[in-house]
Amino acid sequence: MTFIKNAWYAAGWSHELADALVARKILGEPVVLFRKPDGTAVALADRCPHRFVPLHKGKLKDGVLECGYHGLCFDETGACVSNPHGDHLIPKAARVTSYKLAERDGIVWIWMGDPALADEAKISPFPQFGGNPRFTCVYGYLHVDANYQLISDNLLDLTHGQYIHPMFTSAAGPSVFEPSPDTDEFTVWARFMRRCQYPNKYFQFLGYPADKLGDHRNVMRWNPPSVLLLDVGMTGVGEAVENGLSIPTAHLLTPETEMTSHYFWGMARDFRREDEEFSKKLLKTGMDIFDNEDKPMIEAQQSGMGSTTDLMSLKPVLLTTDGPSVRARRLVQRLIDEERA
Amino acid sequence: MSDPSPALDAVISRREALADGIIGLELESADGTPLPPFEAGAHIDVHVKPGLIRQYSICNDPAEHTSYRLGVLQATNSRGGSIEIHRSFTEGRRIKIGFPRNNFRLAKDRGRSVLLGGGIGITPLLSMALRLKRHGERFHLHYCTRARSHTAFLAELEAELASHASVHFDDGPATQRFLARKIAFTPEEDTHAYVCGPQGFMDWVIGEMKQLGWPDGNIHTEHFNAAVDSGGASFQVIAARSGTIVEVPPGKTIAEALAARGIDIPLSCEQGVCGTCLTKVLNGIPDHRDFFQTDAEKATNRWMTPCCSRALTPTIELDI
Repeated sequence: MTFIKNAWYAAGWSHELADALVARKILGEPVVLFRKPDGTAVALADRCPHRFVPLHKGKLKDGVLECGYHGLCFDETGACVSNPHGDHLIPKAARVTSYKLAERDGIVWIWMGDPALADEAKISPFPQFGGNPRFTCVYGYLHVDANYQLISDNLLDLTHGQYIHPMFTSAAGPSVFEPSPDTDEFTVWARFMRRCQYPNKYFQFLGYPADKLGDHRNVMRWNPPSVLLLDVGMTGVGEAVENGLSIPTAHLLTPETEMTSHYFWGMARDFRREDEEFSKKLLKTGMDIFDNEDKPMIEAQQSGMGSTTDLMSLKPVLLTTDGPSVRARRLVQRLIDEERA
Repeated sequence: MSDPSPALDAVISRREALADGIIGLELESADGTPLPPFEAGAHIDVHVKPGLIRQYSICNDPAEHTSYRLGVLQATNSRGGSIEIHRSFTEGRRIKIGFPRNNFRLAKDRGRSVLLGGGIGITPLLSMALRLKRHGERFHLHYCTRARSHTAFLAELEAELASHASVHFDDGPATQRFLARKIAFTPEEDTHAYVCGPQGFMDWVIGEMKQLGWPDGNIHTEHFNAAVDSGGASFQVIAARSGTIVEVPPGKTIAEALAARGIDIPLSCEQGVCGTCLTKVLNGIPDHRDFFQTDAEKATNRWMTPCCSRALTPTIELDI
């Protein structure tokens, strides 16, 4: 296993990059992120080429990053622009990698591969996030000690909700996987429906009447390398989606290393939009669910798999609900193979 | 260990003979609370005895869910389910049932509905008919049986659905016999048909309707997407490496049919997810039923999964 290099990964939420330096290892490479005074986001290799200390231990000075050890300064291109020592000459080798970034939908996207191939048209849209006037969002992050594809498997088979998440449990049993046709070569859909049911505890918490039957939908969209958008909502039986509650969620998985992952999640809602107390409750609910329920299970899974991250090499038993995750894994493998060819 | 399929405690509040070989059961919840609501066309799991679960459609009006009514035919080719129900499901007995699930929904944007039932296939259609009548929608139910003595729910049809239903007996006068081409008129865009009954009945009715120009999307049948669908016509598979020709009957998979002749294909999930059995197609067109290949891959018809997929052509030749 390795990673798709030529792809847009989430490096963070836009709002994380304010004044502070943000240090994050991505695909095994240490990266430091910051904003220039004009607002442009910058990502540099987080290692000074002089003494190899992390640049995030330094500070921002007029839009350039000053190393905290001996004061070399680097600009957004990664070039050293100031050497305070001796004759102030700048050695040719005094340069760090600068990564391509793009900001869309409140997400900072990073391209870790060949910069010449970085095509912003390939960024998956998350239009409900980052300031869409129809939605109010909360954002979270968790660090998971497991390979990123195990998290993607978790999200592509939502029947786990019945067993792992007390809030998502339904008296009528797990959600039902409904195969859907492909829309394009680079999208995998995973549709899990709970039709004609009473709301689970989650939808009751969101405000769906406990005594009203409805159709609860979960339609997951997966795109490479590992970014997922879940259309989740509930409406009265057979009613149009617009009439009910919609609370789409974004799940952006970025490998930190082979064995550890960044998991950025966001929840966007189209109801109770001005209610800040509700936002706080929602954020806490999301953290309870992802941090305390999914994360321990996925980490236990990784630990149960031993030193490998390649689930398929262990020849797992597969169920029909695993169709989407098998397809997503095949596509990742294909893209990795194409990069190597 | 939690039970993988949640169950309800129910009690058989009524059992009656409906026709030759068919009993009606009325189920209520054991604690007297209302049973969960259901949609027209829904079915439930019935726990017949340990290790044996069978699915039966609910046939009453979805607006009345204080009880579920089932019709159970003692099947001559029964694998034990319906015989056991006929033998031991007596009034007052407590049983376990699953929550209602629906694989046979009324279409959302429907104008006129045509319900076509053969034999015991009437059960989900009855529930649909009662639902459509309550909402004043346009529909007609055609119910085909071998003979009056084999016809369940006759009284109910006459009482509740008289102007909306036609019953056709195979042994009756020619004028009342069911002729698909007479009733399965060329549909308007929002006319939807629902067909349920024995495989032979369904194949015949659907074949006729297609000839009359019904688009596939307007003909609805009950589909179970949880298990491998091994239904469909029989066809021949040629295992090219040995030249062995094997008949694959309905209900058997290619892999099973080949294994019976000593040709073993490596299998793992046996439901078209893992891709272990992916096999090259040399001739013929597969009827893809797997989740492993993308739609684009399926469209090339170069590979297929013999654990679950079938053939659209009378013969299919595989690189085995």
